[in-house]
This record gives sequence, C-alpha cells and structure tokens, in this order.
Amino acid sequence: MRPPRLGHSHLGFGVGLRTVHFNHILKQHPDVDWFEVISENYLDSGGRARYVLDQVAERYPVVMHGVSMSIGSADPLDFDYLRKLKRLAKDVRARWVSDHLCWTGVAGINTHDLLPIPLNERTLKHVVERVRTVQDVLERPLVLENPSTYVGFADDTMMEWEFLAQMAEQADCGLLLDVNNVYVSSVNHDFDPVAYIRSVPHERVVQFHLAGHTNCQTHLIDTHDGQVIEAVWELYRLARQLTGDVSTLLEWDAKIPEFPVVHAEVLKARDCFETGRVGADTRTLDTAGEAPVWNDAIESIPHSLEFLVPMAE
Amino acid sequence: MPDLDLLQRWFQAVIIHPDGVVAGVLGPDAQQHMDLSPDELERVVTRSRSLTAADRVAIYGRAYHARLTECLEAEFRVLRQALGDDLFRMFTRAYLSNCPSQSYTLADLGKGFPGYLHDTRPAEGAEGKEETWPDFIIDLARFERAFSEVYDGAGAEGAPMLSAEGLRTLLTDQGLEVPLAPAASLRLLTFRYPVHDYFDAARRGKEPELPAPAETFLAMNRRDYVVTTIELSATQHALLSGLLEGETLGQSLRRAGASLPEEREQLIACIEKWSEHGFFCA
Repeated sequence: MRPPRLGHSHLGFGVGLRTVHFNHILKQHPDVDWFEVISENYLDSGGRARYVLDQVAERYPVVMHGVSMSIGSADPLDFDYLRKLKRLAKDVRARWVSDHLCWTGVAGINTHDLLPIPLNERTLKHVVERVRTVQDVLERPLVLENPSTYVGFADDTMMEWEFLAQMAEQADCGLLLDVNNVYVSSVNHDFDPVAYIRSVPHERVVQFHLAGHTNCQTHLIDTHDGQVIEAVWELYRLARQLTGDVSTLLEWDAKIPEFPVVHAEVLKARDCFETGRVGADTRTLDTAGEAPVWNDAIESIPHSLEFLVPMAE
Repeated sequence: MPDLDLLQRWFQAVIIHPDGVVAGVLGPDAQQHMDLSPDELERVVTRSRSLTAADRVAIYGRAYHARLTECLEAEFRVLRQALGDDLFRMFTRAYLSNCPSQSYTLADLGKGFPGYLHDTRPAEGAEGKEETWPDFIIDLARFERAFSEVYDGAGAEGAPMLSAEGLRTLLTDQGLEVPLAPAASLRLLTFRYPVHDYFDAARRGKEPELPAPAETFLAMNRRDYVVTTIELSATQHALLSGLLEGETLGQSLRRAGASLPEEREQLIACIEKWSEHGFFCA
C-alpha cells in the first residue's frame, strides 16, 4: 500500500515564485513554508531568474511545476526537455516535479495552453504509458494536476476524477489536486464538485492548489487573479479532511499584489484547516452570489503563464 | 471516434485560427483533419447547460491569441510604443499565424519576430519611394530581442573578471599576442538607426521622435544582472569583433587598422575601459 502523499513531506503553505516578488523575497526572506516555480522559466535561464531561484532554493523547499510536458499530446515526448527538467530538479533539490493532465500542442506546435484531452480508455492508456516513460527519465514519480477545462468531448466515457484515479493507479504517479480547478470545471461541465473531491484517490494527493477565478456568468475562467472564493474554501476543507495534511500552494498570476497579500491569502488555508473557517475578511460568496464580471469577461483568459520580462534597470 | 492525433490537430487548427472558431472550423488546416461544418461541432465537442460547443471552443481561441500577444507586448514594449497598439497587434497577429511557437518556453516566442518583420518588410511606400521607417522598426525589434536574450542568457556573474589592472599585467607579461576571454553575455550589434537612444528615452517614459538614420555600433553586456549598452566607433567595433572571434589582441588591433603606436595605445585604453564594464573574464 502506498504511503500518503507518495511518501512526500507535508511542506505546509507555499506560494508561487513570481518575478515581481524577487526583490522582496531576496531582501525580506519572508516566513513562507515553501515555493513552487514554473519549471520552464528556469530550464534555460542563465540570468537573474536562475540566480534568484538558486538563492530561494538555499533557504526554502522548492517544488517544480511545469506547463509544457504535454503528457496528453499525440506528439512524441520531448526527451531533451525532460532531461533539462531532471537536471534542474537535481540542482534545486526539487521536492517533486509536477505538470498537468493536458496537452499543449501537436504537430510540433506549442499553444502554451493547457488543453483538455478526451476522457476515455484510449487516452487513458496513452497517458499512462507516457507517464511511465517520463518517470523512467526523471527517476521519480510524476505529479499531475487536474486543469480547469472549458470543453468536453463527445468521445468522453468517464468523469475526470475516474480518469485521474485510474491514471494514478496504473502509472503509479501522484496527483496535484487543484481545488479551484475542480470548482471551475464543475461549473463549466455541470458536475458536482463534492463528488469529485470525494472520489479522487486521497492517498495519492501530494499537493493542493488554490487560486482565484473569474465568473463570466455562463462559465468560469481560471484567471488566477484574485482571492479564493468561499465555495472553493469549502471544497478545500472537505479535501483536507479526506487527505489529511497535504502541502498547499496559492497561485496568483495576474494583477499580482504585494507579496504579503499573496502570502496572507495562503495562510487562510492554514486557518481554514486549524479553525475550520477562513479569515473574517474573506469574501463569503457562494456560486450564486459570486460577482460576475461583465466587461472583462470576454477578455478574461485562463491564467497567464508567467513570462520573464527583462526588468528596467 | 477520431483518433487522438487527428482530434488534436483539428482542435489546434481551430483555436489558433486568427479569425475565430467558425473561420477556424471552415479553414483548410482544420478541414484537412476533419470535414466538419460549424453546425456539426457537437459531433466532436459537447455543449454545457449554458454554452454551445462553439462558445466553449472559442474560450480557447481567445486565450491563445490573448496570451501570446500579451507575451510579445511584454517583450517588445518599446516597439509597441513606437508602432501604436493597432499596428503592433497587426504585426504580432501575422507573426503568430505564420510562426507559431515550437518551443517549450515562452522565452523563445519573440525569437523570430525581428526576422519576420525583416522578411515581410514593405519595399515601397505609397508614392513608389522606398520607405525607411520599416528599417527602424526592424532595428528596434532586434534591439529588444537582444536585450531579452542578454538579460536571461548565460553571463559571467560569479566568475572572476579581467580588470584594467589585470589587463595591463597581462600585456606586460605576454605582450599583444594574447587572446582575451569575452564574457558570455557580451554581444556586438550593428544597426541602421541609433535605437539604443530611442529605447532609453522610451523606457524613461518619454515619447521620442523617430530618429534620423545613422549607422550605429553597440556592445551589449550584462553585469550583476544589469544589461547595459555602450556605443562604439567603427574602429572599436572592428577591434571587439576580432576579440570576440578569438583573435589575439595584436590581430584584433591590426583588424581595426591600428598600426601606429599611439593608435594602439588609444585602443588598448578602450579595452581597459571595457574591462571595467565586465567585458572580459580573467
């Protein structure tokens, strides 16, 4: 029987490392439990980003979170990319390496989006084979996240949580359960998010993600641009009850506020677990009461993949 | 049930089409994979209670173009200012259509943009006269791309650097027939316009005028993670080119046409100055 979290440590409550916070982190050494980094932003960096990551890795546990593995693509795996991932993971002593259950492109193209795969036996077999190959190259279990999705396929024959459970079991990999993504997809695909949370294999959940999203009235978009809403906190509470201690990370990728604001948001997760409720300042919005965004909704895009921009010096 | 490769090629062709889902579904790229009309979308993609299949696919289409345009806007900020939003987006849209990303990293997205602008440069203006402003635009794009690459590329931080004093010692000990080791971040660039001045002014919040053409030689380097540019004369450019190509100091001085002792001394003084800017490793 697998140990909880595949044997990984409970790291506590972390935040995503973002360039706008580099100076604050280097100068203030904030009391954060751990950091998650977007792997692709550091694979080839020889500049300040890599320097900052090395400094961070000296002081904090680091987890690598990728966006370009394209585990569900029909294209061949990129072994050069995988070898670079492995090297970076070794260099920064990454506690684990994660990516998404998705494909990002085909025919040599990368759309830089987390695109959904048809959820059926055929793609399950395809993904399981590729996860095994990736794990052989990385020489460690892969951890895969449930993405927010906006389309389903006529070829779907199973629910996403069934797919994840079978994939994790057959490939012997871990899961990164993004609670906000469960909520977003539940609205977009008209399913019960509680059933999802109850059905994933809890002992394989290595990490949680939390984030804000945008309500476009007819659907939700995973924008990572604000606070976590109460409905997601409720799902998180349930998930924590079912999994026990699991490392939790807050993602904030657009309209990013000062570091203490981001940090305070993830610390609500600690409060949520310890006291059963989030801070008094948290907006309490259920699905029906969630404020829709009208004008921005058309332009809202799924979370921007953080892009390293040279700083004006 | 289409196989995964076919389905993904079709879906990708639809969402990256610049004119939206209907045009994407009807476009030749999607049609070669799946002979499907927009009315038949639900044979492949399901609808939700609130959205049609086309509405749902359109979320991915909008996201694709918005995200990648945002990345190019971030990398080519000054170019965007120079062109204005409408023209800049016209160029980025055409670029993304013709040169979709093939890299795992968004850092490579803008790599081909200056070349694309060059290859699609309009040859003539409305009155049949050759326009020169496109050359400035291409130069500015090249400058901003080089800036990004130097900023995030390999550098010499942490390595011992050759100081001016170290250079003098080297020359005393080994004479002119010694090669120097340039920092990995050092780039030599040639432009038709003084784009560095325009770039600096724009980054300081000004709205500079289009400069007059002037052949411009620049050295771009990074030290302590800060990128700087230094303008060079043609002679200095020739000297530094030689050193970057691995020539000895003596060979590079000859390449730069410095035959008299005082000419050599002047150029060696330049190298001393560049050494203080971290151009060479010890």
